[in-house]
Amino acid sequence: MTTPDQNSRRPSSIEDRLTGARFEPDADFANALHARLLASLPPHVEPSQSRSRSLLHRILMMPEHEGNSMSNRFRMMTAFSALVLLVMVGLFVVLVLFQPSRVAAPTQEPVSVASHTVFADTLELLESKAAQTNEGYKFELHWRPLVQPTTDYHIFIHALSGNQITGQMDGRLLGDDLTSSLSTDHDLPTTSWLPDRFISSIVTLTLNANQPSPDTLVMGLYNPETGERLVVMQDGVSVSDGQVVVWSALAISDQPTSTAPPTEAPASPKCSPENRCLSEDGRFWLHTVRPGDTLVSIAADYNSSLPCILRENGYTSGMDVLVPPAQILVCIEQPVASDVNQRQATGYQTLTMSADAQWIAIETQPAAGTWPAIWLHNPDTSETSRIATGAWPSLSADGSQVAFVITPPGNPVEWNRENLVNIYSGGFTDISSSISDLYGVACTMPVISADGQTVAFLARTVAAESLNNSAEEAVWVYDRRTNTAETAPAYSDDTAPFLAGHPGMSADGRYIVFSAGSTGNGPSGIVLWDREKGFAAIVANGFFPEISADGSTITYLESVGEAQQAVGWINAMAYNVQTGESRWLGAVLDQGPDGWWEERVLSPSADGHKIAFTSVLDDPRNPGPVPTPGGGLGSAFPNRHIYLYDWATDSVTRVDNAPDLHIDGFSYQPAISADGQKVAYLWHRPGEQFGIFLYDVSTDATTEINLIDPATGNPVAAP
Amino acid sequence: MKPQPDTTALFEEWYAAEMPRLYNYVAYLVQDRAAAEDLTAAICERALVRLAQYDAQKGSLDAWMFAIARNMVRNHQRDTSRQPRSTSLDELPEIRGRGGTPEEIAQRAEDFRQVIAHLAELSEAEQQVIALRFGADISNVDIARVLGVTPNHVGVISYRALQKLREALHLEAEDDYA
Repeated sequence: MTTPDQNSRRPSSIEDRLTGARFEPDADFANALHARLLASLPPHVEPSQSRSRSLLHRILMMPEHEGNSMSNRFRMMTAFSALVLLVMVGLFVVLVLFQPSRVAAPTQEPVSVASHTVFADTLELLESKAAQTNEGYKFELHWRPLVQPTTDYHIFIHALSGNQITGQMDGRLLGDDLTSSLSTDHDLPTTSWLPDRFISSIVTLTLNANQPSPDTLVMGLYNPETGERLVVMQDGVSVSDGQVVVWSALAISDQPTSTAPPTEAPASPKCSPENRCLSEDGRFWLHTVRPGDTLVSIAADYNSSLPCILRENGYTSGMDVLVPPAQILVCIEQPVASDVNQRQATGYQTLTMSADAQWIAIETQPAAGTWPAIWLHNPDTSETSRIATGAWPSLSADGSQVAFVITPPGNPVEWNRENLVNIYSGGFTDISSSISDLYGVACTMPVISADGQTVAFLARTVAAESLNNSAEEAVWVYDRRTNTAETAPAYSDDTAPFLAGHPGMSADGRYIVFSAGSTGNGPSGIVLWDREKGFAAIVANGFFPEISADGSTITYLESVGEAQQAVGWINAMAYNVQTGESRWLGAVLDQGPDGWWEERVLSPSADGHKIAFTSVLDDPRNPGPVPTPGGGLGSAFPNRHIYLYDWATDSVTRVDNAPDLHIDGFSYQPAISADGQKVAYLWHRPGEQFGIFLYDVSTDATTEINLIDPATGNPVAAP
Repeated sequence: MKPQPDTTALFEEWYAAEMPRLYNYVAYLVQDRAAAEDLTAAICERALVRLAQYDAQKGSLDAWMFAIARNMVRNHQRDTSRQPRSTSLDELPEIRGRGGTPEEIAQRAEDFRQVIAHLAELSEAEQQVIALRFGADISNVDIARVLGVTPNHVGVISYRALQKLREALHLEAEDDYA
């Protein structure tokens, strides 16, 4: 029997320790944050309960000039409260004793004025929203600095009744940097607005109760030292008097109203049969999107350096848009020379290679908080192009067709792979629309057949969602010839919903492999689906499967057992479907520098006789203790190498062995050619260096691939 | 057209019930009271500003909130990764043990503190998984959704992270009892 004393000395399990206590927010902090959020609610939205906005909340909304730390501000709340109470009592007395001569206008819905307005080639006004309040008007202005202003600009708003100014406000223009997670980036003067940030300003205009209601509100910026107004351009046209209309009584409607001159939608004759159109300035591809899709802030585009404009029913909108049931054009940026990946500054996410090794597709992410992009490179001719923003490229055998997932519109900072929308293949054909009951916007990990006619990918559907509270993912296979998609037949007697993942496909599109795990924490199985016979079955326990082009060999990581987990490595396996023979390739560890990249660990040649894979072990065939990763971000990680398994000799050789190019670091995302003679891979070394390499088995030579010409900064192009 | 839920009401309900869970998750990762408060506030404010972008048909508000939280915490950690990190206990957010006698509560808080002290030794991925699983108290499937990996991958990362913590604490426990 255990004594209480023994109990107190016995350390509890890690799980018990972690669940036995928690960090508790300070009550003052929680209350103050609640009050602050309440005050920040959009002015047209009342809280769900019967709470109304108090003066306290309005005070909380006022610009705060004292103390940058939010914690400090919260701690000042108590002191504010007494003052607020006094003010409220005073206001009450004023309201009772001095009835205003004019009943305040009822609060109305906010009016969103969509505009594309630029002040002095410096500040782009993305959107302004005006809401009528009991005291006047409240404006929410969204800005994007094109360059960092050198002047502390001031703002003016004039209320016009006819040509008469009936009210006005002037003041320093301050804004919150919504792109930043730092609470110190509040109430910044324009001189602190960094380029390509998303800045939000709240401005209020108080009107004299005795004045007639205005019919128009105009806004402009000026230099307080000279009093000179900034020049305003709207869609390239200079606006007179340096002021723009931000509210008009005539503009009140349910729909956003544009004050900008309407722009012409691209003429349909310019569009290709695939609905791909080139914008008039040649910078953007425009693409038709399904009606009903929600598009968010695509205008900010992925790198925030180039505007990409939604053209909706003839006018331009730069902000969040709920696409109405009508044709909408989305911009996909043309390949440009800027924002290219460079070895010193670019993250390479994924890599694939065509069967003939003539084309390599790389997913790049120039920096944190930017959209990933798909690049194509021909190692023989050095021809390089950036085809689109997107992720997870997969190439047909000759590289002429690319399946990939287009990244969603929205803030790239908040991009994650669960939010991807629409799969496009060569010619930008939206194939996710083939699934009528697609759940949300989660289509991921497409793989394309050799002829480019078949694409397998993961998707959630409403039907799957209804099975369980979790949104199960299923593997779908789309046939471009019939424009239809199908999913696998039942492959398990288990009635519990399964979560499919990581699809692979044979060259002819007949055989599909994918991992399938119970939505609980059960083991993951490898499913082989023969589309020709309409049969699917679990053939092995494991995950991250790939299948050779001829459909003969499945490679996968074996589901770990306790003993293997204890030493931290996982078995890389190959299974010959025709002979039933299994091979142990070596021990691997499926965790990369930041833990998220490493899902394409294995790459079999067309006949499955050569298999490239990654491992952190110096000798994957003689595994010992796993090198210990360093702790925390930016610290050292164990090296990781590319190995090539030879079925004939049942042996492995290291591929990334070019010491003149790279010694230590992570080699990842191997992609082998159909003949097993070439292996392309990505490489990363802590210190933010990335590289792309191509290894030739026959010559034992490694070449580095550059997507840009260091001399010109432009993408490498064919001579 | 399907009626749109009152996202503001949803947010309010979520905040009233779940903010401590969000704070707990953030505190796991930053382990600094002021930073945890600042980040929790910034996450809520970011979410509120972007509430119109939330679509209930695409997933739960909870998953949406933690996706925002994960990204903002990650950005914060990247921004501060080059700065020397203080581990002063005075800066730790308040730890509260669950249930039991005052002694048990205190012991649980101490046990918890000992584990948390080793979190920084884990990789970023492992820290995220531990914080989401134990700090945010969400399932592996939802963690996978937030992080954009497979649930199996989450399981592997989680196992390794717990193993590392176990080893770290075992060494420490041996020292204590030596």
